[in-house]
Amino acid sequence: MIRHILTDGMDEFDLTRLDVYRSRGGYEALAKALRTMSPDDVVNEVKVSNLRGRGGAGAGTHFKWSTLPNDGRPRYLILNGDESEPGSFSGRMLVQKNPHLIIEGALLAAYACKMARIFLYLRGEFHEGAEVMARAVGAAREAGLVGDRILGSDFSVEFVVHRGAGAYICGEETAIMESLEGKRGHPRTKPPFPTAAGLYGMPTVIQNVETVANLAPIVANGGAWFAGIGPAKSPGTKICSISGRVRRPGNYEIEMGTPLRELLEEHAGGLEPGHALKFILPAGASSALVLPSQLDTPLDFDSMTAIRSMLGSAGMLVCDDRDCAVHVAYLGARFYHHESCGKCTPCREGTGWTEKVLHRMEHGEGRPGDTKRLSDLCAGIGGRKCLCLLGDFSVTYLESALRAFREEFVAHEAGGPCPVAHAALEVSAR
Amino acid sequence: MSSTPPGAAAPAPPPSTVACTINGRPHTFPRGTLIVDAVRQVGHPIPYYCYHPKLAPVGACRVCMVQVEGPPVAARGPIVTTGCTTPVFEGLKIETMSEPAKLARRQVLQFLLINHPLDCPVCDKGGECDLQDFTLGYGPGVSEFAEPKVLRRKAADLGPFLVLDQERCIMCQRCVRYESEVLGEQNLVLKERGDRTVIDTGQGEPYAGYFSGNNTELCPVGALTSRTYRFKARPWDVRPVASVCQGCSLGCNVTAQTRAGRIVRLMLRDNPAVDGGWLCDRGRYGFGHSASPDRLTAPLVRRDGRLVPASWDEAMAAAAGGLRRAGGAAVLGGARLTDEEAVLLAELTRVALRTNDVDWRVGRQRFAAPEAVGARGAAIADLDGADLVVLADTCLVEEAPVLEIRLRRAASRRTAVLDVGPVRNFRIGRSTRVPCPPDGLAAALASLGPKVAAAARPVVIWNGRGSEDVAEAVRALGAPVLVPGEWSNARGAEKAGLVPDALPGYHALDDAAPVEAAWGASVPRHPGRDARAILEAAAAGSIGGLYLVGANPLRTFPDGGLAAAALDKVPFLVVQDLFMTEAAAAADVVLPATGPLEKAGHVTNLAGNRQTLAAVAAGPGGARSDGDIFHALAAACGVALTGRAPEVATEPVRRVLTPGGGPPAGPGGGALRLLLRTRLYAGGGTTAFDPNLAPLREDAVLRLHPRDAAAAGLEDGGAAYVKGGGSTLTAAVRVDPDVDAGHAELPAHGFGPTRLGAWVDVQPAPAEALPGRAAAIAAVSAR
Repeated sequence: MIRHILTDGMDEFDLTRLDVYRSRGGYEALAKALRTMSPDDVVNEVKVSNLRGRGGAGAGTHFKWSTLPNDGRPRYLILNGDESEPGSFSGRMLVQKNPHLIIEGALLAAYACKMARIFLYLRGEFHEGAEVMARAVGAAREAGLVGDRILGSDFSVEFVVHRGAGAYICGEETAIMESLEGKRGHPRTKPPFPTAAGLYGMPTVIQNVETVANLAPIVANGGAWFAGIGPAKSPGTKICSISGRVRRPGNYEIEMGTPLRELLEEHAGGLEPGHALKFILPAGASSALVLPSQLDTPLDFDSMTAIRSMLGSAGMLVCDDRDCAVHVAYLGARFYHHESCGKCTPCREGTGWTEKVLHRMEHGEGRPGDTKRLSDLCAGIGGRKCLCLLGDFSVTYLESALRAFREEFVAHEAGGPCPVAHAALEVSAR
Repeated sequence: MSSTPPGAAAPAPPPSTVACTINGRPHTFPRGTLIVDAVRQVGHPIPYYCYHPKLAPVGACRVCMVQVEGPPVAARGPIVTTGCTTPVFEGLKIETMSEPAKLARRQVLQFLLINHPLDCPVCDKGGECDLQDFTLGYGPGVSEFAEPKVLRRKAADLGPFLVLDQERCIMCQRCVRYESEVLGEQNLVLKERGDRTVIDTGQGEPYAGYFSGNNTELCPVGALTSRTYRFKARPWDVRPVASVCQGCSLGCNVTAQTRAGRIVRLMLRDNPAVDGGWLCDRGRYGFGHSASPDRLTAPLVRRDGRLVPASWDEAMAAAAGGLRRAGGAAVLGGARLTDEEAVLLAELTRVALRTNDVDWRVGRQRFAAPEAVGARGAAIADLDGADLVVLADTCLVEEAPVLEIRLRRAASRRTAVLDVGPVRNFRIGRSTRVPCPPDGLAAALASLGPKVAAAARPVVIWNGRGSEDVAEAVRALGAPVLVPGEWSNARGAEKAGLVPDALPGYHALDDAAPVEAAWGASVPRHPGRDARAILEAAAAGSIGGLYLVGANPLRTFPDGGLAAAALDKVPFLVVQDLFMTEAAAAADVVLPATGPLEKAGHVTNLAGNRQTLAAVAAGPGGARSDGDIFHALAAACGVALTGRAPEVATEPVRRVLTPGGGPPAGPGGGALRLLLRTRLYAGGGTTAFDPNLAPLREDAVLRLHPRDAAAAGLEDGGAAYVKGGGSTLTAAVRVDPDVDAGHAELPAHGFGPTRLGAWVDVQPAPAEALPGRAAAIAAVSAR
């Protein structure tokens, strides 16, 4: 039995319209919270639900909220809609097709944590999403759902929709604050952590848009209901984006714990006939490869970590026997070289070096020692040498590719045409 | 009140120190100390680029990698982390030379070098470059980078002082952080992303601030370098000498470096009590006058209407004879001397010339030490903890620039700044303006009495201009006072008695015994005349000779017409200076002196700090120090100077401040009230003759409110005629909303504005009408 919590009715109805969203029970969770629940009651339901953040790290939402200091300073909520991971497109769908679920969830979080203001930070390229969200926030404001004295209660909160300028780094939780403050998108040192001193120095909670989209269903149905879906330690559902060498690429909302094989073969329609799976990048470009032997791994935070990969934002890139590991590595390196913010030395210089080496290998100009050079580069960039995780992300996939397909890299050292027959798999980097 | 019940133990506060080990030895540090600071304190070497003690940690370069083990990462075993972003914890084991730490640093240095051009042989930083040093100490011996390097701009022109090599930059961001954290400006920013990131000015325009040079010392590599030092020397070629900048009265500490007797650069010498470790660009780069070909190199004596070279003996005889002719002599200037020289001049004046007609105040400043008018002096560091600072029509960034940095930092924390005057004096940082007309300063200050009284640690900054009612208003505020001087050693000159109504050591004229005991000679008891009265007497022909010591009243005296008449009418004029100023061109005897970088002694800064000046450069061969000249001139008068300074009076004479003179206030002929204000790059002293500063000269710049500019048909960047007092001056126009409407601001020490009177009219002028300096000198010397 597949439960759709986040995408329910999304394809059948125009949920961007406030009246349609409300006719299907929308904003009733908010009304319920404001009329019958204290902020602490909402916090408690979230605690019971065991909801974990959907942005990638899987941090407990209640834990994050519990670290907010009680010192009377204004608190801010940032909704992270800077979805920039190659292969991840679930957030864009939610923003464009179910904006009120995000707004309602954000309002519940703001009510629970006594936030003064909500900032939705959208990826710069989300032109349409920004328009949809602006219209939805406007409609909600007119209906008394956003702004002063929401639904006649004492609860007031403002909702700001902000579009970035198109930088992967601004999805990082401290760089997003710098960017919102009008500064260059560079990560900050931690501590202080955002809940202690975040946006404009105030206590700040940063949540992925998909995370807050779970809050209205949790408040409506109770935390215990949510905790009962999927594995106890990673309950709920996850919208997985799957693309590449599959017959039905797209977004699929699955119960946490669903085996990767089921997502690949049943939802995404499996691979094209006559081809065999080579590997999957399960969390966009930033995760270790999942090999065919690991296909029965349940899709939840802990199970994916157990196989030394990660669920992340669940942007699955599927590669089959036509895809050369060096080619895929080159596309990833190109992406990270382009997106490195340039703050930390290893990532700034190392991503460029990595791309240059892989560019040569990919274009028939490999040299002896290139494979070892790539391994050394991974060691120099990775291992928490950089301030934020982008440095580590930029080598995780490459390290695992070098482990699993070392012979393909070595074969490219000889130069000349690619020894692995492949057609172009394009991961857009520019 | 505490809610702890009686008898209950209060919760123990967390200990203020933590114990940890560094390379196996136990140490204790204050809680919160960063590992990099802890390692430095105990003397272990650690490389770093982005870290800087004066900047907030940023964690960008990643080269200060150390191995740590223990809480809060005990479970994970030893890890490598950056020392600049991690504080010490109780029980932490820090290893700086473990293999993982060494490997991590080697990797980072390898990354830093791959796109670096390695052009050390032609790089000005060579020999004092942290990239060279740390690569040698911690880096790989060879580069394994075989790919094409990223190409960027080399020798990028960032204005008169800075040259940027974008390829040498290692992106430590010290410069951009200094700009924003220390200055509150954004003259340098990061552009682009990743390994394409570059440092640049915002829109590619020239660097606009007053403090660009500090970037060249913050930059750990050869990216930001000084134009004046390009290809001049290597660090092992130069001789460093500690001295004090005499560009303004703050007296920032510097290390001057010379090569073959010529100054090649000035560098900061951190004195937290004075400069906080920063220099302004005029101070840092304004050494070019020392080796200028325009220096006076031999005494000049006027013969047949022309100034011709003479020997020192001839010049001294001529000067001594002329100054002692009928009518007596008067002395003006002396606020750029050392303390010792100022005493010599006081002795020369009183004992050899037998007069009290002496005044250092050839400008608008009336007093230098707060105590001399009954106010309490403040220390410079008082600004750091002040909760209220009153700027009494004083513009620090123009008058004592590095003090402005301190005030900006204070204002960014908790200091409230009240900015009193007809122009916004404090432009960067939070402040509250208290507008007032130029003659309404006393009333405006009086209105602030309750606010100052309510403040816990107030400081008043007043440049000592105005008359007794302003001084009384400052006194009445009751707060400690800082007095930025119009000249570098105004305070030393005042203390040495270069005033008509007090003797050295602030002894009253009727308390001359200690002075006479020190000098072994009697001194005249009748009060002398102040600068205005001296000039009036000279203009009336009732003074025999006038001796200008490093003074040029034609530019600095508020009533330029009077100064011109005085110099025109005085029978005999001696001018002692470094350059052929407008006044020197009018003299009968010109005595070439050595400059502030060419003589030793002591100087007293605006807060009373007595600092040591060293002879850094030799100066031109024919020039002599002011002190030597005073001795020789006294000898020519038959007097041997002792140079002894009497003890300071236990009850300093309290002086009444007469107005400095200038055109009468009140409605006049013109539509705009003239404001004469100090500007950093205007003036007739060394600044006017310094080739390094030439691109920034702004002797004739008219600033006025957009409304007044529009009414007069003036545009920003255009030229204007400024008319008043029967005189006309041509000036470049800057439209500036920070000048209150109804006022026209001109640089006080520029040439000409003091002749205009109090009220002026402005009208458009053709651009080619802007005057040159040579023409101005010619106009005066044809007397």
